[in-house]
Amino acid sequence: MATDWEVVIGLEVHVQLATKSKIFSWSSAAFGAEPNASTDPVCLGLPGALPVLNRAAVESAVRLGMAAGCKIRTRCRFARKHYFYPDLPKGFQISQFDEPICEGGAIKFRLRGENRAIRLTRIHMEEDAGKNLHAAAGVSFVDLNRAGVPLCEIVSEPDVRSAEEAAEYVRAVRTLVRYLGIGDGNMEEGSLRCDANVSLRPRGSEKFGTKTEIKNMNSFKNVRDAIEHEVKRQATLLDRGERVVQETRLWDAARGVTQAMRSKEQAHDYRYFPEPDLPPLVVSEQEQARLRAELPELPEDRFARYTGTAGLTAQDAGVLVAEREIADYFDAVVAAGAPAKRAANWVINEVLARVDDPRRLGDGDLAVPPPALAELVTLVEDGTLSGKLAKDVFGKMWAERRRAQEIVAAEGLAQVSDGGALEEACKRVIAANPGEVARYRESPKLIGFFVGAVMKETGGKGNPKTVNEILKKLLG
Amino acid sequence: MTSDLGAILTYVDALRELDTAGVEAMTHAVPFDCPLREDRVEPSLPVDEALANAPRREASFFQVPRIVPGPGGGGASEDEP
Amino acid sequence: MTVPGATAVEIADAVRAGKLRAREVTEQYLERVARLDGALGCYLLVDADGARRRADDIDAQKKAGRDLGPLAGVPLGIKDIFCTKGLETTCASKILRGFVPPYESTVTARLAAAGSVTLGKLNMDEFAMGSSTENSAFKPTRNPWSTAHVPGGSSGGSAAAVAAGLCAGATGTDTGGSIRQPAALCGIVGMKPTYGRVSRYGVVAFASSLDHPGPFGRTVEDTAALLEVMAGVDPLDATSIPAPVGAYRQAARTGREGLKGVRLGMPAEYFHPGMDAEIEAAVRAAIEELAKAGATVVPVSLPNSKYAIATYYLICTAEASSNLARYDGVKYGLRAAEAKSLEELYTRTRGEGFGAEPKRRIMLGAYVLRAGYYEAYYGKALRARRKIADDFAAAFSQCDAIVTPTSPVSAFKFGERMSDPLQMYLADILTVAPNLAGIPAISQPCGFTRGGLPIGLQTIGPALGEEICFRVAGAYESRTDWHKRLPPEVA
Repeated sequence: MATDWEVVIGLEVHVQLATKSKIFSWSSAAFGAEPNASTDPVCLGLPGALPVLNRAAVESAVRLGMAAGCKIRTRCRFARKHYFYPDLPKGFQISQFDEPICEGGAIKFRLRGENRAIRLTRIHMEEDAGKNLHAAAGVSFVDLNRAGVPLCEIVSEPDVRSAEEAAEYVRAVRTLVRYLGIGDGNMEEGSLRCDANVSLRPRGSEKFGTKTEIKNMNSFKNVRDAIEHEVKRQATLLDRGERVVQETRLWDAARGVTQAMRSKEQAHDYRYFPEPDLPPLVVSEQEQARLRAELPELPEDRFARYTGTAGLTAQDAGVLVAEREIADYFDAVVAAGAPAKRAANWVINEVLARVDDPRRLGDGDLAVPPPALAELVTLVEDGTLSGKLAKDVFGKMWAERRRAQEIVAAEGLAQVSDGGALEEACKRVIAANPGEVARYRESPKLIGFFVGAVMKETGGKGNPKTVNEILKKLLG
Repeated sequence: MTSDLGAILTYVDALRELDTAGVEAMTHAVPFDCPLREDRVEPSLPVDEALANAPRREASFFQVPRIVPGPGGGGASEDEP
Repeated sequence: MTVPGATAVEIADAVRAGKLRAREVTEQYLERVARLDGALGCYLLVDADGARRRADDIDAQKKAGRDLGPLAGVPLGIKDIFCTKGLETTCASKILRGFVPPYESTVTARLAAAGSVTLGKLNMDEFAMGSSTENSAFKPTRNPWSTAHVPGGSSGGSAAAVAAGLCAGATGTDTGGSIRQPAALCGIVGMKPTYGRVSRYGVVAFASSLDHPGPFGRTVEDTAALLEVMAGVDPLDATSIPAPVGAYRQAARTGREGLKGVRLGMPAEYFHPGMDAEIEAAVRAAIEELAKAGATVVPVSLPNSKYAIATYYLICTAEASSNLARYDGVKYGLRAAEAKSLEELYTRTRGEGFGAEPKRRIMLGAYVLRAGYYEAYYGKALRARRKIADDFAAAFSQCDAIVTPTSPVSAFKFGERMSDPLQMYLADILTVAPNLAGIPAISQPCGFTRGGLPIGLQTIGPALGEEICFRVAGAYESRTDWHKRLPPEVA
């Protein structure tokens, strides 16, 4: 009989910070330079070179910790983590061990409508390694451009309970990182990386089972698929009475399986000790207060506000909070006078459909800045513009960078609500369609035909509600 | 070599008799905190200078014997497929 | 003013005043190097062309009426542990043979900016590990006072070169005594400043929290003059001290006026029964001389001194094993030929490239840092270090400076201590504690053995107390003649 296994997952996520220069030296941290063109004595690990800590990396790490509700250590330390690999020039990575900059905290997100909070153990700063490329037979190539780019490592408690939840957790980290503006959080490009520790235990048991570490998952889908596969693999083993071996396994997306690494490479003593070249880092209470004051409204808080006071649906709120720029744009439209629900519809259905990258909504030179959209929405709200025409107007606004008022005036699109003019149009239509008038007596639904004809007659500018009322009155 | 190491280890073992209870570790001989650098890019080494001492070089890369895929340790290291 | 007795200060004054051309001075020293260094082995690399170009440059600046720096025209030797851009830097190791740094150390950049002329790179124990320069992978350096004897180490080439007049001053590094001990064994002045006083950027690391770059000179004032240029905060070294650089030359000169009001501590632990009689006699006589200069001598105690060597060797080997991890044949230096796998690359490169002493220390250090052993060894040593530093702080509440012998032995013969590494380590007993505490200490000549070998007097000061060290040393020097003696073999 198969046991009811509980899945226990802990996640380690590495976030690349988008600082201008590297964490310990002055070379550019930007992606895409020609191989080894973004290096200096420090990140090359030349004899005699020394690390000097980048202020922006510290601030980003503190912001991330604050956004996750961590305790920020006033004094923290760097440590050396030793292993030999060609992409690690010094033979050690400067990281944090005993006293990381952030401890505790949690990542919050919604899973199938339920609020989840995965506790964190810690967040620490470290430097990235370079890249190894395996091109020709017998040789590999090393590019040290990436060596020294700042990373934050986020370590969670083993609170995650499913592959799906793991993917949502990683997605939530990504959103947080982008909200704070500290990084791109792009898994495909490697600016967000995830390793998972997966184990099973009989449901109800408190003891942890043997865990495996899963690596090489470079998308949310891969995170989910890899963990799902691993869970099945472990369950099969355990159901047969076999043991799970503690090891590191790599996800092979093409074949859909995890593969154990050669065990020789696994057991590692990193010989941690405090980094002698960097005195302890102090982030004063004052500094912390300044950074805390600068935090933007975070995704989960916005979600609560949108579904609460703004009265939006969870689905709409979810779309709006997905990127900070969308939420900021939406908030600005509302602040300029548009009612929340309508503003949400316009942003979701019209604005987002026209941008490749929603982050562009944060740009300075938008075709339709928030006050312009608010103006359009107000014209619809106050009856000046019909809903149908408004969409066309928006299209023109976007393509031609014009204001709604200006387009409406220039093209005479103002909705006609003047009862007299509309009555004239209704009378004309009734007179022109005696057959339909007769059929209308039998089937009142035909009012739609008349409304449509009047709208056509008025070039779409008739106020449909008013047209409807007048027709009913005239048709009797 | 081994006997040398053994003799040295025996010698340093004498440190055990020193009472260090409650004494804070002295990791640094400086009394100040970590200074910070402004996040400003300065010129990198030209590629040829960065690679000038490379024992084996191929185009703009350092060349090494083929690495069996899979990180040698933990942390940041990983490989392109 | 004649080489080899000329002081750096004399040379700089003459060149600045236009009384002497830098090129002339440089040629005189290059001639001595060509003639005498074959027998002594101080230089690993002589950069005659570079030195001449540099000297000509100084002369041209003088001719153009520009103000010259405080070390104008002074020919210096640079320990081969400082990265010099465009000039091979090997740390006397096969694993760095052929390494030409693409960047300059802060120290050598400052010395050059002050007008000095680099004659070349000086021999040392491999990666600064040793006390006799016998661990150089390339050749030994001989003590100018007696070529059958070692010059000390690890900065043996630097000390011997200054003593033999093969340069007017030199740089060194002191991790456990590697400036002071060779200075003592070669009869010259050498100073280990406060940790962080001089930038380590560009100094190949041996033990990061214990490495101290510093100067060698024929006189106390020369040494002070060099330190004034070398010292000062460096944005490229996060452990460099922001405090302003002191007036060290001034302090040295003040010593000539006597030491009234200065209390000198004599720690019982540094004068134990059974110590070398000649050294004890010379040092005690020196301290009496200081008392005659007006100082009060008080007994002090540094009770944890006996743990200093163990503490030092636990910390320095741990840090060394870490700092030497970067030598892997990938980016620079030696690479084992025909390595078929990564593992082979690493093991053969490091096996072939490192000498016995670096290997020994790497193994010890890796062992000391092993998971599970950290607290018992490294962690313990860090706490012992605190106690040793506290001992000094307590002593300095009772005195202004501490005086001791620099080395328990005078220069020993080649091979005498090589068979027992532990014996070699114990030679550091009088110098390691100030490295652990990070406090300044200077060594100067205070006599000779019957066999004609120099004896050194050490003055230790509190953190950032370079001035008191220079004052005491200046006082002693002004009342004695040891510094004027030249090794008979190279006069």
